[in-house]
Amino acid sequence: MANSVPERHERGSEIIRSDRLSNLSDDLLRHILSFLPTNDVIATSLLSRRWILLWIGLPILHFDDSSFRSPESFFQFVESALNFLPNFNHIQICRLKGRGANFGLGPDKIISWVKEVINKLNELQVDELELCFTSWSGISLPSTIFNCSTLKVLKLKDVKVNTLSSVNLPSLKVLHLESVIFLEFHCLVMLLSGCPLLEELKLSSFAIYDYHQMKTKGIKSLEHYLVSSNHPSSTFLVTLKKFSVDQFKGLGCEYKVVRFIMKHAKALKTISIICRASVNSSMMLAKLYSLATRCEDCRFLFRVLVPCMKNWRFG
Amino acid sequence: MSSPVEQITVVSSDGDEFKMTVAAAMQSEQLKQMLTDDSISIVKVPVENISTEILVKVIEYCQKHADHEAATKANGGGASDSEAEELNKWDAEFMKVDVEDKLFHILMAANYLEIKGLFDLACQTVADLIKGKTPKQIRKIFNLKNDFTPEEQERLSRQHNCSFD
Repeated sequence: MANSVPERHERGSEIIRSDRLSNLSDDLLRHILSFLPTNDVIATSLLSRRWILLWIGLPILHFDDSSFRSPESFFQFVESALNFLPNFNHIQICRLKGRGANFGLGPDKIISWVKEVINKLNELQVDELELCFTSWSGISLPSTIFNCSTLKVLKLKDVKVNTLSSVNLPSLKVLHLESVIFLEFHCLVMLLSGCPLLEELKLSSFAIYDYHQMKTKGIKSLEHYLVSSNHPSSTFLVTLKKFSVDQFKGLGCEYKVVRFIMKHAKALKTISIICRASVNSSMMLAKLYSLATRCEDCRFLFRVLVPCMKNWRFG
Repeated sequence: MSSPVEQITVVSSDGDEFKMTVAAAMQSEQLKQMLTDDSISIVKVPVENISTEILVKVIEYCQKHADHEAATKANGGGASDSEAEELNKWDAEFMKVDVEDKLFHILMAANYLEIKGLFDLACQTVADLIKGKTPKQIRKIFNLKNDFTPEEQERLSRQHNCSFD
């Protein structure tokens, strides 16, 4: 379909008269492709001859179920992409986001699919992994994901973490946990102690499902879980430089965890705690601040951001 | 010893001169390197392949983001939700330019001057135009030529299990 006469195509304020996209270099086009989910990237290979191989060399896999008609078609796409694409690129970053509705797909099917995908990703030895399981909430993460020697960055959102038999993430430097539910405190401590090189930790709205277990078992503090973990407590969080907490409500288990982390991470350079609802904070703040002062050259930022309230800063 | 620089002058390919604050200029890695190199004393920086029209837009972006950074720093180093959202809204309005001329010129200017935020913003804008569209729709938007033969088209679409429409 040759365009001898420039096509005038109006779409709102867009009037295209010439093909500017093709003037861009391959590198620039690839950078643009890196902003698209993988299914859109593959669709571009049908645009023209130049575009067939353009996506090769993209080290990113980005799966988002919100543009798929059904969970089955999404699962199928992810499976074939994971089998096919790594033949051409070394995958460095993988983002898997289930944000749409799950259309009532049975949990068994989802669990087995998730297990397969995680195993495949482990095989690929990606550097950075981002998982958002909003569509499949209630499914707990297979523990294989916590045993990956090459993973450097792990971001989890809307996932459940059940009892972990072992955690071994020797290369992990960055860990972001957003709306993650841990079955018990033990899981969280185990996860953190399995990352000996961790430099950045971000927590946002995490929860401990069995919060009362400590009380019922007569466990006085989180130190108990540290002693019983596989890794020596002397190396626990010693490399952590940046610690941020968002959506901090100052509730019992949250506060316990934050204090525990700050107590052990003596090399912290930046601590940021943000509350988005008004909290009764003065005593809690004083305790946290005194912990922060034990770190050399550490910047401590505590903010309460509530609409209609002016931001105030302490320390 | 030269006195501290507060402003620099950039000259567009059309020969027009514009003053930029140092803070705004630092948004560009290229300009930043020139500014932090003591062996260079800057009077005027020519940007040969950026026209006046585009340069004005680029300077506007740099100044806005420099101002935002300064405000955030003064406020304690963390942007609130509303501050970040406001900047995002500003960016979205800023990128409402006509796709043919300005968008790609801005993209290339940001690439040349190494202004990461603007470059990524422009790339994201192009990506958003591609997202969720069929190849036929994408070709229409960007006026791309389809150089496949009918046989190739047939074979490829069967392989990809979707149609060109």
